[in-house]
Amino acid sequence: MTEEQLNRALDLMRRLPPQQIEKNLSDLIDLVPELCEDLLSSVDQPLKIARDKKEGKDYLLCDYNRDGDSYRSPWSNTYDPALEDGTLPTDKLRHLEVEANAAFDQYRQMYFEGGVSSVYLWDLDHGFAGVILIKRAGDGARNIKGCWDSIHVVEVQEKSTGRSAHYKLTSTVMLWLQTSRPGSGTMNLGGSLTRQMEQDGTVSEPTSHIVNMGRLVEDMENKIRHTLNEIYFGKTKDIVNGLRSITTLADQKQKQALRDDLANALQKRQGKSDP
Amino acid sequence: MAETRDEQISDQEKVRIASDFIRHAPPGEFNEVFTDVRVLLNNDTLLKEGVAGAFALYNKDQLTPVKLPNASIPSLVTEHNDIGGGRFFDPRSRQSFKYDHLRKEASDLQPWEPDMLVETWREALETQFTEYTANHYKHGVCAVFAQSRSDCMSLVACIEDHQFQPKNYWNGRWRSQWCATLSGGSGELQGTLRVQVHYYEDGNVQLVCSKNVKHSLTSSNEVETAKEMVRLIEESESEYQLAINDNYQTMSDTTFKALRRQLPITRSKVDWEKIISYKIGKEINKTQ
Repeated sequence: MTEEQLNRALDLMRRLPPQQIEKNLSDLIDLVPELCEDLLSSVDQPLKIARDKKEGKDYLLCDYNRDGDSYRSPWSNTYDPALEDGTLPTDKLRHLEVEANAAFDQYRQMYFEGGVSSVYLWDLDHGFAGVILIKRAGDGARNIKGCWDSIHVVEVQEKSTGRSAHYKLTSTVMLWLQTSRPGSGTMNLGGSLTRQMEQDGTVSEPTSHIVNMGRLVEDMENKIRHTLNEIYFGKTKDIVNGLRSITTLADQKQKQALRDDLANALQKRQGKSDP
Repeated sequence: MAETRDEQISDQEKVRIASDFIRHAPPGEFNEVFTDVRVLLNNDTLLKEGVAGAFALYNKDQLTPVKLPNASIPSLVTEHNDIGGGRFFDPRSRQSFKYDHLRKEASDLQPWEPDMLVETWREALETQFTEYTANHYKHGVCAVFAQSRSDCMSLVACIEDHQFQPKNYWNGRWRSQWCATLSGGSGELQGTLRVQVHYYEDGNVQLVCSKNVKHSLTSSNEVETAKEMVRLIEESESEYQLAINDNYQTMSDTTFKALRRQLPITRSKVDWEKIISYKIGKEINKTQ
């Protein structure tokens, strides 16, 4: 029964307006408390920012750096509020995590020219997994609030030779746009798209993983950015304009009739001039 | 939210949550949301007793079109033609009907008496408004209601148009609701325009728009007032649609571009080997 309930809950989250994700998720957990852990780990929420006072840097919160009600900073590797024995990556993994954070920090600057990023890694049986988070809020120019949230979860399966690995990436990008203006009232265009990609990569040293993950994430984000552009500003706009026509449908019929007449006339002319 | 994650919330809270979910179902997806909620609530008695009210509220809020078995032109289910006991009236065909909110069907048709004090005004507006709807909404359904009050007359005109394409993972609906209050040659026209689009192939993207409009009216006779109202409505709705399109342009040209570039300023993808070696270089410099 619980598996069916989880499927129904996920279906519901795909249908309810994403503008209220947090409230919907909170209500859902209240309604079916047994699903709490499953829901928190499988429903993407807009990323929250916290401040690492020690290091003077911002970091992002998600289920992967959460332990109880505390969150681990990727900069100082400590929990806030403090935890006596919170889950920490092994030393070897932590070293890679530090490198990954630095690398993706640069990636973020090059593509987003601002925002916050965080990378969290954890061990698996034959490899490791990680989440790369990026949050970029707009500056509110032209009276439009915008925000981009990236959640990339990558699973790295190291091959027994140690010379290559298989990377499986599941990415969700959330895009939020809202405006309130006299002409158009309140307009709220938001939500997310999810995609999956996988590929193999050669591994010559531990940091090769960062190169391989980086390339995969970059390609994925570029693809999703393109699709977001098409869906948000193409598809949904076309749907709106399909619901109501600014020009009267009588006018449109007239224009179409004129177009048909012209086409027929052209065809007849071509027929005459052919040898 | 419950104190601890294991604590059960009250039945009343469950009903509130279930009703909220139902009322936020995107256009065209009521059945799917209903089924989800039914399985999650896991209590059909509570569903029937506590949540059934939400079905009616949803349908009325959505301006749900309804086909009457003996009328060629469909009507709408709204708060303005709700006469209680699960019955609504259709002023166009002068009938009342029982409405099944789950099956979305009309039955038990009875004759309905219009309010003769305002019926000529209502009919005049209905004629103009129906032509307007046909001119701008390919599959639009409209309905006009009128009510006489002690000191004024109120006219309500609604339009609903939708496109449901679940096989292509999208649905959309436009709703217009215009209310005119007239008294002694003048009045006010107030409109609420709402658009909602849901796209859900490998994701969940929704457009939710709403706008309130106000105009002052001078009323002479039935036909002239109706024409004036429709003129203002057409103007407002087209202006609204143009403004939405304008926003789309700005959102894509300005806002979206400023969030993430297509490529870095170098015009080529990131050199990841370089990024790694740069960091290592910094580390080496640190230890020196």
